[in-house]
Amino acid sequence: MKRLALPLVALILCTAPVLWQLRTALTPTDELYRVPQAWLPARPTLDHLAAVFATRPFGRNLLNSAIVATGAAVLALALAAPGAYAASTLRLRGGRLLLGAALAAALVPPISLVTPLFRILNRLGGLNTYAGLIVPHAALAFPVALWVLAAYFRGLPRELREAAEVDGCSAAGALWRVLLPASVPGLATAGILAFIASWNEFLLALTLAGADRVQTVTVAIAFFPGIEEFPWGEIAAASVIVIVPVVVVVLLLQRRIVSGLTAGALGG
Amino acid sequence: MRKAALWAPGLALLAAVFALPLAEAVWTSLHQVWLQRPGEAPFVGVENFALLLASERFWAAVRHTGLFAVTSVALELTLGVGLALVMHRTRARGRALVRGAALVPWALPTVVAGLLWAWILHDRHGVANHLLVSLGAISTPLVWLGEPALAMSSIIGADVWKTTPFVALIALAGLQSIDRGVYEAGSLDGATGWRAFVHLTLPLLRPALLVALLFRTVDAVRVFDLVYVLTRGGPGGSTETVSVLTYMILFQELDVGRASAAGLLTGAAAGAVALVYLRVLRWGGAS
Repeated sequence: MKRLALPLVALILCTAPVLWQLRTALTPTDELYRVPQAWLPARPTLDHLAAVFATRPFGRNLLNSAIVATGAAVLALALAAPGAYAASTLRLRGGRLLLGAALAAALVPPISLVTPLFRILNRLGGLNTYAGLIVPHAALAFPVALWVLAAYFRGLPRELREAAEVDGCSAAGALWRVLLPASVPGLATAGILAFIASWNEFLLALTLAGADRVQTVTVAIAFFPGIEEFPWGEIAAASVIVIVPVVVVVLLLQRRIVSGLTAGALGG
Repeated sequence: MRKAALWAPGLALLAAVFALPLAEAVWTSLHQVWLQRPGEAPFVGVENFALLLASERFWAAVRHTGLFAVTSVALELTLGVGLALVMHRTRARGRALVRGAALVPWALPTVVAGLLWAWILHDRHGVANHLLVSLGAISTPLVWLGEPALAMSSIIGADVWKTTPFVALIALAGLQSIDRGVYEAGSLDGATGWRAFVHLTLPLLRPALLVALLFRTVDAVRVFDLVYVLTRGGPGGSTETVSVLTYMILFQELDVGRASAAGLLTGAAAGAVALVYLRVLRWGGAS
């Protein structure tokens, strides 16, 4: 029993606040403001979930986030995979330079970029466009994608690359036809981490793409509170909608993600 | 040469989103630029930096950021190592369960985590006050986000909840890479329990912990989302961090030049912290 106490405490501390938000999402407003609060709603309701879609453009926000995060993940992978190949397998000087630049980039606070990116995108007409947010998000996700893939390529058997050379593949051919097909788990890890980073990002989404048309879920939820009243039930409902897909993916692929996180942190 | 096509596009992306904007920020920080008047931009030298460094609000933001960074990172490191030890000692299925649970706070958008805590800490309807009052820990409900010291503590608490798991997962990877033989050899010398932890585990964990520290500290120095959602820098500016201040200078005062300067100073601070860690890391790696 004693051995189980600490893991149980850890389990509760990590999940209880999220479960409370789930409970809030299913509790009618009058019950939310009743004192003392009951642990479970007396009359569970889906009203908040319905209201989020009926009274707000939250469906649109979800679509925007999905488009931006997918675009950012694809772009980050497309550039990080050859970069990681150059840095790890081929050990090119340019590849090493890229690793160094990625480390430096990972340390730059996004707030230092907000003002200039806002001005640059303003000049280019890229404010409040998908591309204007996808490219910065891809760049933010790039370092971790690079490290994860470089670590994965390093772990592949040497014979793979040698086989490619024997077959007379060019560097790009070896990457495309031999390395990448053998690296689906690594690509999935890097892609998921990039997707989550973009899906969760707030500061650049707020400043570069604040308009309704392209607004992402994090920005939308942050602006749920009106002048007078906080719609706590709707905030909770929207939060649950945003959390569920991420948590499901993370739990299904937890081994990969943990190894990707540690490769990202320790491999750089 | 053709092989440059492998790494050059990635480098171009980093140049476009990091190097070019930073260069632009340096230019803007030396000029007087207003968001609503994009045409005029007289050169003012280091005046934007001088104005910032002379303002009480800027130094207050520096103090808040420092307090937040030091406290939250220290707590995350301590609790993270503790959580990692708990996971490490738990048997396979339990470990997977706890590890899965630990990934939940990490996977949440920070904005969502912030609003979640804002609701839990709500002064009248929050479950935190309800729990603490019924347990007798406090006699009257606290206004968590309405009093300076409590508000900063709340922000730190929310950050610790969200990012301790990240430190724990990295520390766990470090623990799992330690050879069991080290402990067997240590136990012959009488190093068991706490002594083994201090003299064997911690030194061997050092590289992993330094990396976690590097990323956590740099992240803490640039904290924005949690503060924005929980307090907007209030009450009375008592939780305003340098990132939040920079945002306010840009979008409330519309002073692009000074916002650029503030952003660059934040970047310089993060860079300085990183350099110190990288120094220690390299030195530690060589020893």
